[in-house]
Amino acid sequence: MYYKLIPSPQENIITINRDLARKKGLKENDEITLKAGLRESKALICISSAINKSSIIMGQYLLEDLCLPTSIFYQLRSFNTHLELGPTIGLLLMKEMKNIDQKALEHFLKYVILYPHFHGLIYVFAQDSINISENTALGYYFNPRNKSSQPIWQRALLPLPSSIYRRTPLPYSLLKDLIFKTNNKLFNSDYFDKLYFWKFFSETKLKSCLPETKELLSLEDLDLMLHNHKVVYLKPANGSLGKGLLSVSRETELYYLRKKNNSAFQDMNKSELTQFIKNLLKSRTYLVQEAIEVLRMDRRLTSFRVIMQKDDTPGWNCTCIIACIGCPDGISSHFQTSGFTFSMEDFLINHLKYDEKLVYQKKEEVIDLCLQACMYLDDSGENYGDLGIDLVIDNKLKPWLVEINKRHDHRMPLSIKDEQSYLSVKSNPIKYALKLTGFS
Amino acid sequence: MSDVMKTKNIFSLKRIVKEKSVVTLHPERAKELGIYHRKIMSVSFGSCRQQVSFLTSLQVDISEIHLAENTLSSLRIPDYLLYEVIISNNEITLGPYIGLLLYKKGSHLTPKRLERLLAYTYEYNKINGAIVVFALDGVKTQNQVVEGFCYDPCYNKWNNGLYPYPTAIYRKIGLTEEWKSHFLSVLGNRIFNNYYFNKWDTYQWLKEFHQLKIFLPDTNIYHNPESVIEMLKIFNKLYVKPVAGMRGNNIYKIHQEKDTVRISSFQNNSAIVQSFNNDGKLREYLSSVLQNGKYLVQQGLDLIEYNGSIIDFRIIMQKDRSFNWRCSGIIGRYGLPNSIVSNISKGGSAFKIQEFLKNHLGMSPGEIFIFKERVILFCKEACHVLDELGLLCGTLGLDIGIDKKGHLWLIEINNRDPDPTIALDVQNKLLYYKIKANCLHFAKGLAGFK
Repeated sequence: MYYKLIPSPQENIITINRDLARKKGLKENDEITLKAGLRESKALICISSAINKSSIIMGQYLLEDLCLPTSIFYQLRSFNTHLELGPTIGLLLMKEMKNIDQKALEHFLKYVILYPHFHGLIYVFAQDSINISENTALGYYFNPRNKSSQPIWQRALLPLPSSIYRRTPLPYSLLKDLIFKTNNKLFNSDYFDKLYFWKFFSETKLKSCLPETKELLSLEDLDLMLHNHKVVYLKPANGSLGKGLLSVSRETELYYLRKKNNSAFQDMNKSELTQFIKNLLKSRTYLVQEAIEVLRMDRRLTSFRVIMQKDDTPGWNCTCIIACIGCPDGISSHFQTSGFTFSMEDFLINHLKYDEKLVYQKKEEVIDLCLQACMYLDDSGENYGDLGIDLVIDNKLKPWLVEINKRHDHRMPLSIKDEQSYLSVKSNPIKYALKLTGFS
Repeated sequence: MSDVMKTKNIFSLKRIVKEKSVVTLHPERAKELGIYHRKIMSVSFGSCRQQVSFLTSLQVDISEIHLAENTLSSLRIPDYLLYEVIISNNEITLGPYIGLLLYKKGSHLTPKRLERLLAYTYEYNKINGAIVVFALDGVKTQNQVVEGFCYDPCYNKWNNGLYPYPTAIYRKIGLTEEWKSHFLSVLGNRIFNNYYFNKWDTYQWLKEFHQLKIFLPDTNIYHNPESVIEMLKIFNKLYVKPVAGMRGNNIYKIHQEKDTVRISSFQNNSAIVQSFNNDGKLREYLSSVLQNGKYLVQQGLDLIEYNGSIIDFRIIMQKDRSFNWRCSGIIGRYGLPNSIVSNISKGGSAFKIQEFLKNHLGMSPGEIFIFKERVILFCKEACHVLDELGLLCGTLGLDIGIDKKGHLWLIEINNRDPDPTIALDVQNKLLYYKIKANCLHFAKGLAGFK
């Protein structure tokens, strides 16, 4: 049941239809607390049979106090202590409001494609538009309008929402405040780095699926790793898209380094490398990681992006798996320049010619591994709902976990022309955010 | 392997030769299972149970459960499998033990068929326990054993043998009331799909739920030609279908255009159209082909078409191990030109909806996505209603149509033997395997191993 809010000059009075009052156990002159997102206000109940079942008349003061736009429909839930209008969902997608331009808003429409299934207040906002002490934010809320007009995003002052889906880094104190105020209904709640990822999963049963990794503190760490592995990677703990990735191997007294994308080997001796490492570590934390002998296609390295998401059903689901093929003789499988992508099945069956039964079992094994990883993360007390897991399969067909991306690129399915998966990727976090609000 | 086994509560069996009626575990495992102090317990596998002495010993490996020779043989438990354990009511249940009741006669379980049945076992490493394929005539009610074939993961084959009744059964054949009662008495309510319902049942039951009623085409039982003639006064297009029928057999499309009534049907692999200008001839014809109570007269829908035939959608709905309904896949179908049915067995074709709806019906990706969500939402609702009616279903094929105004219609719920081969019709072998595996996952949940 969806309700239209009709403004009236009567301050803090809320007028409802007799049937609705009966259903929610409300009586004339009851004083109730009305909540919308994180804002609340006291209101007086008035009952009238003159208004229709799907309307609620609200005093202007109430509407302003709760910062509720009247151009959209809402659901209403009643509790012992209060009434709640909603759902209220926030999409915290940018750092600065000024960057939310027409083009960005156009793009964000993909998130709300299932809006007619739940209605309520769903809005896009930025880090700098939040007024934490007032529990409000400036944002662009979705207004589907009617059949003859195009849906739009409307700018307004809005209540901080019951659940938040965020895709932007936040200062620690603001993040903690939002998590506290929403009662841990903000996801993804922690943007951990590669070092944390490795430490966290090393304590779990998935340790055997992690490539051996150490924090790079000196040449000794590198030598130790090279003692066990022919080739290792140097990776910044905080990095994406393979930036700063180096591969290192050693032959007698010389070290051979290579940057990504087909660049030549650079050789260094012990003292040169010591200096090189010192410089690297001046600004960032680095990891040394064993290079797995991954499946290859025509001398190209391959890896898999497994998109794991929550929706309105319990638990995690695998939305899709994309095989990434890097450039020939490169050091990574990043495909953005001269590489390409396939669906996992297409890649393994049609390109590497594996048998369907084997591919089926491998896919299930990969999904199971990622599911276990997600469940461990759930146990940590943080709130995750939308992850892009990087995984490789070695030439003995064993899967290895490489990284978990918390702000993974939603456009990945488009690279394999899978528009339906793309729309699922966009919609699932909204379904999860909806579930978190408690509305249906 | 043992690390995984330890965490996943999986055990291999070992034989104790020197003692009788005893079960021994490593003390750590006993503690984990909460039975460290037990001395007397029962142990069960399927319908077989035995009272045993329970012991712990550091000599027993952490991944093993040791059972006395006599216990193993009275439980009839295959010792080459890995088992999960449930403790309930002072009983150690080894399982899951899943039965696949696929044929009436054991003679149908030929080596070739058994080879094909391996398709059920591809996710065995997540199921564990025993999977036994059997036929109805292999069920020995006197001793409560079944003669069947148990899956052996080491050699990837089926081993013939005598086993207890399974804990949960996926059945694909009809059962008499007597058989149903017998199984119910031994297993309890653990057979799915437990009750085959026809199109008339579907209509009568579902129309009582207001959220589903609008998706059901108006339907009445055929008693005599008046049933058709009366309905033609309301709808100018009708379908007449057998109450219990499959594969698009004996379906008649009746179309009224001014004073002429045209009836199309599929006879002997060809489409036949007959026209009637007077009621008498119409009555005569209808009386000759239809029988009282055996047919349904249903509102004809103006469904979207392709290739001169109607399009419909098969939605595969299956329950997972936690008993949540999930959509395993949506596959489209259209029939031969001018065909009145879309069944593959009548020359129809299957299609993957993404490309098809985009290329042939000009739908945008957003429209296709919304359509899929609507359909899945509706199917979940219908499945929940079936649960509420007391049916125990685990795998269903819902046929949905969409009319030219965009309304969804429920055409039929295939619950007797929803055929996973439709996945092969769209060259999706992985989906085919998944559909089969899901049946086992649900059976495992039904057996108590969630």
